[in-house]
Amino acid sequence: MATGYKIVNDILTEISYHLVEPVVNTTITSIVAEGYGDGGYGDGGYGDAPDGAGSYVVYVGSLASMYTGALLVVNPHGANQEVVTIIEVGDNYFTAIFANAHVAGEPIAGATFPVGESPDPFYTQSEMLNYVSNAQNDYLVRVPLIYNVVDQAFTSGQRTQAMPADTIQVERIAFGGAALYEQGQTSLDLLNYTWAQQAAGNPTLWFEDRTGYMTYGLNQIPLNAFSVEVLYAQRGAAALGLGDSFLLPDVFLTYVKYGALAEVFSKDGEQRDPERARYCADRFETGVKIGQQFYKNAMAQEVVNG
Amino acid sequence: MADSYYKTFPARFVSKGVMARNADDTVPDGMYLDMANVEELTENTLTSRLGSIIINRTGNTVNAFNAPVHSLGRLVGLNGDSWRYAGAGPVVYRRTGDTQGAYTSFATGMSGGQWSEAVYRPTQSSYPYAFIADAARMLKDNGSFTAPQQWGIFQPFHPVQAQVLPPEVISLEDCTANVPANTYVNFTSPDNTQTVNTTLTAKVLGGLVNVVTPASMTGIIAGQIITVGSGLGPGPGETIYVLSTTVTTFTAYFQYTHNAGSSLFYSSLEGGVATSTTATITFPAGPPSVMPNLGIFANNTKTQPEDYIYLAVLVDNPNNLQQINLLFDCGDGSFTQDYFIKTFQPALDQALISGTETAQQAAVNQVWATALGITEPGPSNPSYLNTGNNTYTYLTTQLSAFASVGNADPNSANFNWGNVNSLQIQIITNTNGPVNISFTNFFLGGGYGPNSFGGVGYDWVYTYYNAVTGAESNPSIPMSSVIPTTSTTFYPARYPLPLRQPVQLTIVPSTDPQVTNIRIYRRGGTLSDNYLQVDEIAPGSTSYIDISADADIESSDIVSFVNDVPVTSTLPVPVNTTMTTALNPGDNGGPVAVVVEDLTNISVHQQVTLGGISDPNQEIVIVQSLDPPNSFGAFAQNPHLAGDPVTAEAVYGQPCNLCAVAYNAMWLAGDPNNPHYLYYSTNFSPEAFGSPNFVEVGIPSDPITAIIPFQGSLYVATRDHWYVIAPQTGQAPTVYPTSAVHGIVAPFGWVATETEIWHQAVDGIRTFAGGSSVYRSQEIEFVFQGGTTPLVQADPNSLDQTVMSYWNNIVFISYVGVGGSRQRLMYHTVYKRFRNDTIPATSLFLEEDTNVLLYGDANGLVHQDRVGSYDEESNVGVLTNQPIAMNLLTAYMDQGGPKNQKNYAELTLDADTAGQAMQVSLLFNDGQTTLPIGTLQTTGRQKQNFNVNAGLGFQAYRVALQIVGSVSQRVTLYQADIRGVVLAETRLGFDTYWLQYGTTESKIAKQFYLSYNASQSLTVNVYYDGSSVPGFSTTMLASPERVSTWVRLPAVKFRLFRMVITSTADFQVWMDSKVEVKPVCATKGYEVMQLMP
Repeated sequence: MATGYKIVNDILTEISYHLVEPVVNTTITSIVAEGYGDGGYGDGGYGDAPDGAGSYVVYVGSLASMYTGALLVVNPHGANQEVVTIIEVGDNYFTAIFANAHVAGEPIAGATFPVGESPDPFYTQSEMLNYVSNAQNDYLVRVPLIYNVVDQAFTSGQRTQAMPADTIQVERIAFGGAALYEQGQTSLDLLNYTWAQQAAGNPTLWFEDRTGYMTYGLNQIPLNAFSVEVLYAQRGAAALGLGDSFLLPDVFLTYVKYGALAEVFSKDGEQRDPERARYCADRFETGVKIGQQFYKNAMAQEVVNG
Repeated sequence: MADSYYKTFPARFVSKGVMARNADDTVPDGMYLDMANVEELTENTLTSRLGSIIINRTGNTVNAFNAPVHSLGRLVGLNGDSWRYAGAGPVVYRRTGDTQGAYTSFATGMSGGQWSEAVYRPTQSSYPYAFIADAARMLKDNGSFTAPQQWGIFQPFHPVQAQVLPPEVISLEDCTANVPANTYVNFTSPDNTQTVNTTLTAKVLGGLVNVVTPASMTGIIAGQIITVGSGLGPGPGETIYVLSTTVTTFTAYFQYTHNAGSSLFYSSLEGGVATSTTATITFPAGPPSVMPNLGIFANNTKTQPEDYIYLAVLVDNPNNLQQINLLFDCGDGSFTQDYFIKTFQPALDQALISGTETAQQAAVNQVWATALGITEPGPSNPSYLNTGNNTYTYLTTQLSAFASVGNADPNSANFNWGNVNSLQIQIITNTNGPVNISFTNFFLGGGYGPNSFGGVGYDWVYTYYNAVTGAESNPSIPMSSVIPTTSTTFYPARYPLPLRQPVQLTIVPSTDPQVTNIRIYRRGGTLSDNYLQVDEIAPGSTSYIDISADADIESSDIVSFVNDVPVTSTLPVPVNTTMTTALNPGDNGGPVAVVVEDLTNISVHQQVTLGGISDPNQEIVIVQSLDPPNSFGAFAQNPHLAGDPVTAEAVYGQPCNLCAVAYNAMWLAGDPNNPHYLYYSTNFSPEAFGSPNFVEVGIPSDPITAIIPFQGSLYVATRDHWYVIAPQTGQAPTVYPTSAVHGIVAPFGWVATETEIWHQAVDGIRTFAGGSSVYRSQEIEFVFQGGTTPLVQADPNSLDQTVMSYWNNIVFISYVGVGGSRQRLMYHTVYKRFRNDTIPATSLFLEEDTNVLLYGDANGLVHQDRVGSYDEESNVGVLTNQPIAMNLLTAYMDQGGPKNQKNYAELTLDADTAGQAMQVSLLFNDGQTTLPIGTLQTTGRQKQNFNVNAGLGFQAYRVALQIVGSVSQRVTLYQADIRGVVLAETRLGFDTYWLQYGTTESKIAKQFYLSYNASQSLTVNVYYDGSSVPGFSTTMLASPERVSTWVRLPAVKFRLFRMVITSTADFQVWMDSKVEVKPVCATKGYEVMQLMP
């Protein structure tokens, strides 16, 4: 679920500039399906594409910062945006497998972190994607700004259920439109030590202690299958793609960027810079505080407004 | 370097010589592009060269020759005398002593080309002689001659003409011509008959050998004496000796003149002897007849055993004769005690011929006689009569053939032939019958040495001899022994057959003034193997009477046939023509005109063969004169027919122009007919070049160009190779090739130093020391092989005219430059450097004894080089002092920055010009610009400053200094200092290449500053980390004046940085251009880095 306009590549592009890394920023001059030789049958040559189905030869205005294996965003923010992996870089083209159709004039972008790419890269794209993914989730953990509601189905006799995978924190569980109270199993034991043997009935309480990682349970369960509504604070994907959007709105992505840069400058390497890392971490923490204040205010407003 | 500042670049005038090989700005330090008339009289300075004085001038009057001086020579005699020689045109000039003055013309008719001189001593004198080998004449001189002498002596043109003269005669005619003069026993009817009785038909002259045509030849035979009557005068009567006869004439020597009609007569004594009887005729019967003294001839010569008793005997029937005994009593006259006796018998086959003996018996008798040895001459053996009836046997019996009886002894004091007081003829008949017998022609003859008793004739040759030098010519052509078969003329035996007779020789004196004697040689008689010297006579002699006996000359010198005048040259195309008219020179031969179809290759002194090989009349004649178009003069001895071949294979006395002394002999080369022949003389006889005395060196197309004695060996250079000549005792020398494959192209373009032979090779100057030759003109290669150099290049077509000499460790090389001018190169063998001057030496010569270097020039002047500070020259015959034109051009110097222009602004010269003005110029960029900057004029050593371009200087990559001037006093150049500032390099492209700026870490370049001059805009491309694609590009504006521009660079993280600047025209980037770079790691800031560290 995207809450902003920017995609991951946008943030990584900004990070590239911080790190004095050039980026891919060009357009398609022509694109042809890959084949053997020039002309002949098919668009790009004879027979099947050597790099597999969907491979195309993309002629571009500049090959700067491109290298084999690099991820590019083709037509970013467009309807047919997709991320492709460079298979080969030629004199004035690259090849990749495309899922979508593209035409000349479409932009191609990519924070490829090419400096020293082979054999001695400063940074890799996957590394940087991790830094950004972690920074966003770290921020969401610190500032759970994003909530999600899902219905979870229980089978007959099922008492416990795994929380949704992107759950940071479950805020509410409702059955039949009524919110259940969260109670610990110890409390339930004090109230009725036979609660677990009680006859079937609609749940009134839910618990999450002593149920295993990311699992909750219900105090009573119907005889038949049923479902509950779960409201939880959501986290982003553990591994963002270059073309992915963020859960966080664009205004918070600055802090995600600094969170990632804090990791980058802390990384042992040629560009390790503890001072900058500390600065970036401070900017992240500032963002967290701002986010938490925003969250607090937002929640207070919600409380006030009922 | 932020800015460039002026700097002084000093240059001492150190000299490593002139260079004509490298590019003019890559010449090694201390070498110069031109050192015309500049030399290093003091080391580490340059000076004007030494001058020269004229030798052939008298005071201020110059006595120039009429032609260029192509050759020089010298002769140092004994007692300190010396003579100088100079060759100019076809004349050899000579001057006595070492002072200045006019030369005198010494020899003309030379070839006009260069000649060689070798000093050696003649065959038998230690007096030094200069031998001059020229292509036209071969000469020698000892300094005292008013004209040169021929090298060697040509053989006589004419052969000997010999005429036998009569012997001394002691007549016994009284015995045979006067019946009462004898006492007779059993000799019946003695009577006298005139066997010769005729008259002269023409007057004969006294004192001469006359050919006489008598009215009748009856009874006249050779070897006979005849009485000439006195009645018709004018001379008194005399007895003559018939030397030879023909059918109608006889030859005899007459002491007196006789008119025609004078009587000629001679008598015989006739008588008979009965069968089996001994008859005697004893002489003298008594006064007035007396026995002549047989011990001494009229010429006061004692009779010798070799002298002859002549007696002619006629027997009507020899078969009836047992023997005749001839007795000479030297004792009591009884003919029984002391006497000399000889027996004469009929021929052994007389009985056979007379029919009284069988052939078998005759053969047996012959065998027995032969076996017993009685047919041999000897005192104990008889002599034999002829076999015919009524024919005279002319007996000639040597006194030694008489047996001595009793005390008779030719050598005794009292019983010798001089003691003979009577003679007796004993006639003994056998039983066959009586005989009638006649005696005539009875005399004792002899008194002279030549004696062909054994039947071997004599022939003579003669030579011309120089008693001063010991030089001798080859002998005259031998006398002909041919009895011609192709002539109507009667030819007697060609070789004289004297019997103790004198022989008169007719010879022709030489016209060569060096000849002091004529030497007479003879063979024959008992000494027939070689010609032995008979006598040595005055040079003008035209005749000689040979009276020597064989015994007198048996130890004499043998004539030499290897005294050829240098040289006998094999013709490449032999003479092979024919006579067009017949020759009939007479029985004694004589000068003839030989008319031939083709006179080509026939020359004076040449030995020409007349007649074919199978022609008995074939003979060799010496060409005495040429009478073109088809005739030559010679002395012929035999008749020849028209159409007879005329052939010759060699030229005699072919001059050669190369000579040297080595191995105690003289060596010659330069024969145009055989350019690869090396001729050599007999050891210690430098004028004797026997025709076999040559060896072939290489091939004819590679001619010998030099003969060089060097370090104890003799080396011969050809145009392409070198050879060493090894002498072989008694054999021809051996020729060994060396490994050198570059010979001498200039026959006089070489000089031998102590260690090597410098020479002009086809590719330049080389040295040779016995193995391979060494290329020595590498540094000045452009002079000989083309290339750009201020030096005058050698004319490749005139390399053969190069001349060389060696003086004070300097090799002097004078060559003909392109355009024909003479130029000189000098190589110092100690400092190993060349220099050049403009002395137009057409010849060079070192006088080794005085260490004086001479040179000749094209104006007919002989100079002494290395004297003074100017050149003496001739101005229309008047002495003038010619300043020396110095021209020093240094190499183009770039001050260590060949790619940088410099701004040259000041020049300082440290020099002493002795007050003379010299022009100073700076030449920039290989002479593209020549900038005169002033006049150098100092007195004493001073520094003189010059501004360049009014102090603004001149921009150029490189500069050369040229100092020129004509000076008559010595100029010394010590040092030059040029002040200049080094400018940025000019370029079309600038590339930093990949820079990491001191660390392999990644960096960021923020900006750069470019300081430049550019007439066109600059394109700047910045590349990062090995990329071929510019990471940054910009264009900078053209700025002819220097400008510094700041340019911001993009934020690019890199480890390697490269900036490439290009333009369409030359631009300069100055050293203070920089870039600011910062490592990407923490705690490091920007640093200024040079773009051109």
